Amino acid sequence: MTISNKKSALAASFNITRGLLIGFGLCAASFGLSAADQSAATMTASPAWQQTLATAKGQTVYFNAWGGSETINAYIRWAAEQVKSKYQVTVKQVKVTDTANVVSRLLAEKSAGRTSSGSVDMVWINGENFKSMKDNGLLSDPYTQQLPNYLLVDIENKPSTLYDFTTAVDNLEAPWGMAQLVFMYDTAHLDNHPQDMQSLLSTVQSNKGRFSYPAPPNFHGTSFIKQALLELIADKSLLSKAVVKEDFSRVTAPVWAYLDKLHPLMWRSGRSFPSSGGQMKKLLNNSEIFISLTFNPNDASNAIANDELPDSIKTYVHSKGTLGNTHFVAIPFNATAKEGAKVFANFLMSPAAQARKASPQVWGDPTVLAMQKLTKAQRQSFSELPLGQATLSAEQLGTVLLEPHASWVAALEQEWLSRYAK
Amino acid sequence: MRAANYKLILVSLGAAVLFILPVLAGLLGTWLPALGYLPSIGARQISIAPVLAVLSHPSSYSSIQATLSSALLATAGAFFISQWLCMQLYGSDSWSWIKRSIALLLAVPHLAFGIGFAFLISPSGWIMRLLSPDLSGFNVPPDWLIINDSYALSLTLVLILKEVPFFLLMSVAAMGSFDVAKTLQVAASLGYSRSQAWLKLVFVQMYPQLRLPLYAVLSYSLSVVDLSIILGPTAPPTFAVLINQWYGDADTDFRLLGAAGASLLLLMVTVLLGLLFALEKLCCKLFSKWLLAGPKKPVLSPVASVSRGIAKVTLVGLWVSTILALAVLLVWSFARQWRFPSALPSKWSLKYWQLSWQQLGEPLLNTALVGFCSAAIAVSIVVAILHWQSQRNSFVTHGTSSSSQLLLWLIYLPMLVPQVSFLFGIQVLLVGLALEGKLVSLVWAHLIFVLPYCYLTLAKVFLQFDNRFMQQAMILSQSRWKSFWMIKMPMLFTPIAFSFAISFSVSVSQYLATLYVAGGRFDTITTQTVALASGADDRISASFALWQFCLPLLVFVTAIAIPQFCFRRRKGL
Repeated sequence: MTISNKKSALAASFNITRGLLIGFGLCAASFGLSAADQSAATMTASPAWQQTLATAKGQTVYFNAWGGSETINAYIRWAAEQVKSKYQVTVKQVKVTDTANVVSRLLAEKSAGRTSSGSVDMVWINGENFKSMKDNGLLSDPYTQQLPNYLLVDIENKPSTLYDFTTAVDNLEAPWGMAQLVFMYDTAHLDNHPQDMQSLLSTVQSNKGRFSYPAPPNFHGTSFIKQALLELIADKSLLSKAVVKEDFSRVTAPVWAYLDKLHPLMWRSGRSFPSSGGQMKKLLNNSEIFISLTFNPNDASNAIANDELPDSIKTYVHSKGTLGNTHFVAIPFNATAKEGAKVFANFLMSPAAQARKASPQVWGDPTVLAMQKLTKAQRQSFSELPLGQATLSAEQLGTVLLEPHASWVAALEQEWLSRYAK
Repeated sequence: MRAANYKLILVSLGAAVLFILPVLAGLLGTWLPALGYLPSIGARQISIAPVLAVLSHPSSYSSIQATLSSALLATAGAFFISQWLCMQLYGSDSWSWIKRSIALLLAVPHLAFGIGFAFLISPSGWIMRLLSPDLSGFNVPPDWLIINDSYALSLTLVLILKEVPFFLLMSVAAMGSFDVAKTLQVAASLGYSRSQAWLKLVFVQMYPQLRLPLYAVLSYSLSVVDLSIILGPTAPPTFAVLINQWYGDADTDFRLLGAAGASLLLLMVTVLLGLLFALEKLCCKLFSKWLLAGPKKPVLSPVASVSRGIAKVTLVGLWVSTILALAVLLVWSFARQWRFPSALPSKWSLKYWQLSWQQLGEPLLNTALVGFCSAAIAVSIVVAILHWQSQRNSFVTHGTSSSSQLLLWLIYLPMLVPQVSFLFGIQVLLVGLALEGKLVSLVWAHLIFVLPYCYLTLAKVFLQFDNRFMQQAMILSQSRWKSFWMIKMPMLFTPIAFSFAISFSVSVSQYLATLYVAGGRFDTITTQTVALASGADDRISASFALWQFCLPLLVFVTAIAIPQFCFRRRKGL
């Protein structure tokens, strides 16, 4: 198993340099802080990029993004206003319930021979959907290398920015944010939180009916199954390779044995499942469940600030680490406003946009940027962000476990359905 | 006059071509992938493998089982309850009130009602909050499987609550075609009890006009997606939701499964409608003697008054559940924090109305635009067709000709064919013509579903219009157009306005049609409400659900008010 011991890049070490250097971005750059910084600056002025900016002017970008969270929608609205005033690019969010529907639609367009002026200019994507788009030739040419801000991305310490659920990204999608599986629990009902899958089982044993997870193929549900897989199977090195059909049931047997024990103790005795992570939050708020899960380490803090959750909610991760990944934006093969989409993607990766996104008051989505590649002022905008009241620090978040090879998802979901949804 | 008739025939045929052919093309575009042919994903091998894959999919069996049981139970339940209410309450003091208020119940969209109802009856819902902790003893919500239960009972219940008003309205319309009061009077004088008279004389005359609504409700219940996502079982979901999930799966091979599932669903609907038809015939045979046997000993009156009482309670229950569902939406939309077991929110806020207002501009405009266009076009087409039919009937022969019967079934076809079974094909078709995501295609797609309802609400009124008014007008004015616009239209303006409102609300409630045809370019209030309900911020989804209710309501109120205002000086209109 290729577990990288990478710590989250929101490293605290930068606090030391704070105050020593004068916070002028330009000065910092001229002191030679990083080569990438300078080349980013040069590329901003590069003729090719200037050309892109010029063509993008006046274009309308239809950004297909999951629309189920008002916090995120508000952030996208803000970003759209910014690129409108800075680059005269109009961005319209097409709120989708399931990104796979977008892949569907593109597929329909491809089958109809619509190779240009497609209906989707940009899509928020990762994992299986990305693999599906890549495999079906639904993506435009590699583009992230053209974006000035791509040079600031922490590809060295965040391997998931290069391998999206082990599928090579190949510059086909621009990293937008980081995610890590984090559990939420209600301290009003539980004194201690579980440390791993086994102790989760014993916690649920003494609090019958107070835990659940969304039914796969929901993303959060499948992630929970993958986390169980990572923790429970003997040979973890198998997970970085494609699934071998013949060995599947033998390898995954401990997971199903575990779930067989867990389900009868779960919410609704495992006969019904929440539809999404969002619904889990609602159940947690109503004390229907005491433990929930999320892929955004700041989710709980945001929800508390927003009165969606009570302030008795805290978060935790399992002691041997939890699943983590990156989410991206991609441009389809037949996008109408490719240049506009590039300009927007570049803006989404800019330090200003990333810092705002990382703010717990705004969205609280961890950045994809490398702190050492930023100017001091830019770094400061990250280090000064308050940590939400239920948010774990980078150290507390601990080890990030890489996603298993994408082929495991379908196999796990199929097996799950045939066991628990028949 | 002949020439005018031909023009109208052309118009009607054109309408049929415009609306029936696409349905057929959509079906074909779904059947081909069901047989393994979908070139866009490299599938070119014709085989029944996708169908076999659906049948062997672990979720299919229990999914189909839950779908069948909930659809059959909901359809039968709603039909029987509505007919029983008619029988018990016709002619009572509440009858005229029912007739007037039924449209209001119908104006509450299924989705908004479903979301509100879930807020009401779930273990952490409003009812349980009002009872807790003092009465129920619960400090945390009980772990009861009420919403999303595996037998789809909550879905069935909501379907019944929503379809009873629909059947009531259709029954009221059907009663307009003969004199029910007189029939009952004569029957009573011949010694029939009320219930006997109703079943043997009234219901039998009503049924031919209730057949289509009955079929439509059965088809709808078998294939509903949006309501099922909110209330239906989850592991596995109902079959239509499962099909929709397959269409949307990241693994593109599942498109074939989706298409095969959609075709199977259509087969199920066809077989069930066939069985229902056979059941009708069987009942006709079995009960023909009983129907003609004349009166039997009348039921004692105390029992009758008890059942009338129960009927009234049922009706009140219908109203109370609707009002409470809307009330809980209203409370949630003004809540900031509302945790179990508080009876009311601990913190209130206007924020979510402001938020929804900011986000609503565009979807609201889209919904109104598409609704207005499709309703206006539908009403125009239907008025043209009906006017033509009524002219033919009065000038040629009485009774219904076979050509107009055929036209009727063609118009109603989209009501009977499950949406999910042909929208995928329509999507492929529109994408091929580069018409996907255009306003015109969206209006057209809505029109397919709006038209039948529009026709259903107007047909009776038009065909019963006393043509002597037209003849008189033509003698006086010497102008066909003048007579039509100055006499017939004003006389029928009230039902036309009402039909416009129904058409509008049908358009507003379109979920799948918008999803598949709008290409994401046009969000409507309904697609947004489902999207937000999946994200599950209760406060914002409550305010969206209320908007989904308010828009059609506004149109209903206007449709009732305008004729009253316009004709306030004219007697008898």
